[in-house]
Amino acid sequence: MLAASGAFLFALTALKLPSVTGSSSHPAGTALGVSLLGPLAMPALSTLVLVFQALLLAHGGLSTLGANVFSLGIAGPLAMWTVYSLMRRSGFRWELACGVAAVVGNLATYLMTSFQLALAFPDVSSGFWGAFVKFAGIFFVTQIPIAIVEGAFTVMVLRNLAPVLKHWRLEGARA
Amino acid sequence: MKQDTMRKNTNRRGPSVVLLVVLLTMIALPFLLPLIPFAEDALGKGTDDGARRATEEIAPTFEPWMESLWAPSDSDAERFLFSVQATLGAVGLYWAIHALRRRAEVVS
Repeated sequence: MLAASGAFLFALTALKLPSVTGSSSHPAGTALGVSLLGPLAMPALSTLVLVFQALLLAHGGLSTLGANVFSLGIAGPLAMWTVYSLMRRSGFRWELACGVAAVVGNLATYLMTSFQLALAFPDVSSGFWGAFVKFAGIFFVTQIPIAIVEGAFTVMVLRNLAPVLKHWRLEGARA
Repeated sequence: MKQDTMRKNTNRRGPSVVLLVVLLTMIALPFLLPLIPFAEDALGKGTDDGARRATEEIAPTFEPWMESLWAPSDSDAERFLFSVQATLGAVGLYWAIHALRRRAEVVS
């Protein structure tokens, strides 16, 4: 399960996908790990992937590693887990709960990135919130279609794991 | 009848063909996307670059603390490296799903 979650994260964060807004961005890739292992496993997995990208691809960077781990490995997974838990308690099917949670987690990751950037670079005239709206505007709209694709792909992978999930003892996406 | 049952069991062992096709597409995506005019334009306008430009507008005097020790020489090299990462991830994911499904079959 750890290998599948890590590989999923590794593969998805490598993809730069075009969006309907005419710009491009990356999926978050943490949804499978959150579904199978829970949110506590994601900071470690995210750190591995981000270090790989920082050292070998010059993408992200070591000086921003902490901020990136927080948005990708903590904020997104926690939002995902909250949505997944609430939807399951409300009686939604696990496929739908995982799909919606993946979309929300992706968007939460990039909202946290916008929050961090706004904290680091508050706008001279409109302050923190002005900068936050500016950064969120850059990320959020582009991210929506990518998040939906990520949600659908996560559910596809989980459906392939359905025969395994009935033996899985942790609270994950049980079929 | 017996053959049908065997075929079903064989199909159940591995991940679906659709997933395999998606994973193969994922590996080829960094090279396929630049061939599509709309996608090529979009790839040139990444949100990361947009955020960097916004940062430069807000704080024009900001200097990064440190420069990258190493960076891909051009966009083709970067695309190749991202493709390598996607390939490692896709192969690992397929292998992990396959291994987990086989183990589940043995258990049940």
